[in-house]
This record gives sequence, structure tokens and C-alpha cells, in this order.
Amino acid sequence: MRGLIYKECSLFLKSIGKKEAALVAVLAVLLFVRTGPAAGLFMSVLFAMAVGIQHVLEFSADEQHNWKSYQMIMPVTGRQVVMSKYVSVLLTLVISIVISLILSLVSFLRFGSFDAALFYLTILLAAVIPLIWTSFLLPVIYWFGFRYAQYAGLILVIPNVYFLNYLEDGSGITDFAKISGINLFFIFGILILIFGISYFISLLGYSRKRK
Amino acid sequence: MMENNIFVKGLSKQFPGFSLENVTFRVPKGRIVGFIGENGAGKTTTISLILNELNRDSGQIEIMGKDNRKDAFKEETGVVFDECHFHDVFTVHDINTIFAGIYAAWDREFFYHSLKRFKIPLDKKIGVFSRGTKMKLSIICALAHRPKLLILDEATTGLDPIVREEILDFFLEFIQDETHSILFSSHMISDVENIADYVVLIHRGHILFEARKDDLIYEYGIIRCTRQQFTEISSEDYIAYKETPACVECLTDHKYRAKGKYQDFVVDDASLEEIMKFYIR
Repeated sequence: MRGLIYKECSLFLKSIGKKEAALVAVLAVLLFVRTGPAAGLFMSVLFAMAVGIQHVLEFSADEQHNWKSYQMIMPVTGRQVVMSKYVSVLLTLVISIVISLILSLVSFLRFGSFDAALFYLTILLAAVIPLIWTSFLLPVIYWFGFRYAQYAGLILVIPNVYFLNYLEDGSGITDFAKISGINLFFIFGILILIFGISYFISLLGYSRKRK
Repeated sequence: MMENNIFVKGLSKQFPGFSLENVTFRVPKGRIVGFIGENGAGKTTTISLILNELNRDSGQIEIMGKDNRKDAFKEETGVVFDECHFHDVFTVHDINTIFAGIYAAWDREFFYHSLKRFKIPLDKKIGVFSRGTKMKLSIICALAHRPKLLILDEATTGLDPIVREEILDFFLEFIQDETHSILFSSHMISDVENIADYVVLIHRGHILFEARKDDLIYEYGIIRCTRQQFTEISSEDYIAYKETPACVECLTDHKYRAKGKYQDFVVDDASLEEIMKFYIR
């Protein structure tokens, strides 16, 4: 299975398109200019969403090369195939968190203010957002295919936008940081449960009988 | 009795508009079996069923003595398709790492030695490789985990003669081990004629014949005669015939008997391609 995990992680990094990266960079700059001391948070949310989307876009590359047909002749089980995808999601959380740390530092250097609640929320969302995106979209892909996941992804954008609006109000950050700080273990417990359920649903989708 | 690496018996599969019916053939150890047929005959469907990518409706498929539904054969089976399935962004080093983490018997030395032998670039992305280079890479990957069975589905289609010859030589080296086998599906009848020991012809989901290649080449011939002369030929002496503007051609599976019996007629050797065309028409 480690070969498949390497394939997923390597594909994640190597298939980031220049145009997509440039678009994310431009949006990050706009957020940096518009959102003041909370710039680190909003840019982190943007990159966390990009990390989640990138996991979905990998399936496009798989489809383009008909990788699934080739994978079926390998000595790997459906469980290993799906598990390797979910493991790669967890491994790439490190990237999301590292980026959020860098962006928080950049924001701090620019605006000169450090808010512990803001910093904590930035790191938390860098981990949570990719997990939620992939937990929702990966089962859609394994059951219905990559194209349906593209539309399903649009649905996820809506709560993200409302959440960002909520945070834009200064008290939103403080309130949310307080609530999540108190209930951190509960939040991660729920996330692990959602991620686990997502894995089993994906596994059922992948293992459906061949025609 | 010769053991088989693949044994297919009574294999059937229904699709809307097409069906595979009672397909039976074998791939003995130490032999290359050429699997030929026109487009849409059922070659790829049969291979997909053998590889357990599709569920069969009925019949028996054994790979190395075990039911193919157990999937245990995959560690010892190398497969090459008609196109390269590796992502364009990967290099051969990525492929090595991926496969080494999947196949227990992955031979890194063999992999890199073969890359060097076939002059495959080490540090370029696969996306910039030519079609021939990609196919060579696919074949090397199929062989580098030391399989006993190689299944090739149109693996030489679209390649130039130089690359095809290199690849066919590679297969002949593989088959030197008497425990190894190759099932080779191809439109390029000349490739099958060059290296196959046995030939299986499939047409519209049915097996028309399964025979030793040497027997086909040695025994089959084409009787060429005028329309008037054709009336003198017994129907027992030919399998099929076709009328051309110039003459009537009859396919016989007893060439030397025909030469003796019809001494005034032209009896030529039949190539594998000609035999296939007669059977299909």
C-alpha cells in the first residue's frame, strides 16, 4: 500500500497546475490587502480549500490516464486503494498547516499584531477544512464519479462563504475561537468520526460489483 | 501433460448487442499464445474477464491452477495494455517508487538496467515520452516484478517496426524460462506470426480455432484456380473459398494432399493473416 500512498501524495504535489496556483495566489493577495490583521486567517482558509479541491482534482488526472483500469491488475485490494487516498489526505494536512503558519507569520510581520485566538483559529481551520471537503467529496467520487463531485463541490462553497462572512465580523473570530477551544476534543472526535464514515462509504462505492 | 498458466473453459458473457459464448482455450507454460481477431471480436473482453476486471456469466477461468476470482495471480502476472496509463507528471523514479511499494518481488536493478538498455530518459516526465518509449516503459514495468505470466492487449499497435522488433526480442527473452507464458492479443498478425507458438482466433465472441502456429503455416494453403476449375475441387478439400476478379481462392488445411491431388492447380502457402481472413469471411 505504501506505493499507492506515494502515488497519491506525489500526484497531489506534481499535478498542481500553474494556472490554478496563480489564481490562488492572486486571490490570496486580494485577501491580504482587504482583510487587515485577519489576513492570515482568510488566506489560510483559501489555501485549505485549495488543498481539499486538489485531492478531488487528482481524480481527473486518474480518469485522463485510465489509471483505475491499470490499478485493477495490481495486487492491491479495494480497501488499500481507498485507504491510501485517505492516508494521503491526512499527510497533506501537514502542507495546509505549514502554509497557514507561514501566512500567519506574514500577516504578523505586515500588521504587527498577534492575536492568539486568531492564530489558533487559523491553524484549526487549516486542518479542518481539507478534512471536511474530502470527507464529503471523496464518497461522491467513489459512488458517482469525478464529474458529479465537481458539482457537489459547489455546494460546499456556500457554507464556506457564509462562514467567512461570519468571521469577517470581528467578534465572530473571538466567539468561534472560544467555542472551538472549549470543545476542541469534541470537534476532533466528530471530525474523526466523519472522516471514518466517509472512508467506509467510499470503500462501498469503490467495491461495487463490476459489470 | 503440459501445464497451463491460463485455462479458459466455456467462458460466456452477455452484453447488449454482443456476447462472448463458450470461449475455451489455454496458455501452456513456456509458450506464447497469439490471440487474434478483427476489431470488436471479443479479444479485450476476454482479457478483461481473465484479469477479473469483469464478472463472467458462466465458465471457468484458471490462472496458474487457481480460480482467477481469487486475485492471487496478480502478483505473478504482468499486463501491458495498448496505451500507457502512467500519469504524465511522473518520472521513471516515481514509477519505481510506486511499484516497489506495491509488488513484493519488484526488481529495482532489472528496472533501471532495462531503462538504460532501451534508452528511456531517467529525469524527464513521462508526458514528454513518445508513444514507443511509453510502451517500452509499460513493458518494463510489467516485467520488473518478475511475473510468470505476461498478458499483452494490443501492446505493439501503433509502434514503428524498430520498436516492435525490440519489444518482441524482449518477450522472447522472457519466454526462455519454461515456467513463463505470454498471451499476446494483437492486430499485427505479423508479430504473432513471428513469435507465437499457438494461435487462437476469435470472431464475434466465438473461438474459431486454437492451433499450433507451425501446424497452421505447414498444413494450410490456398488453392488458386479458375471458376471452371473450381467445380472440380471436392468440398471436402477446402474449408472456405472466395471469388476474386482474377480467380477463385480456396483455403485448405491439407496443403500437401491438395498439391498431390490437384497437380494442375496452383497451391500456395497461406500466411496467418490469409487464414484469419478466410475464417472470418
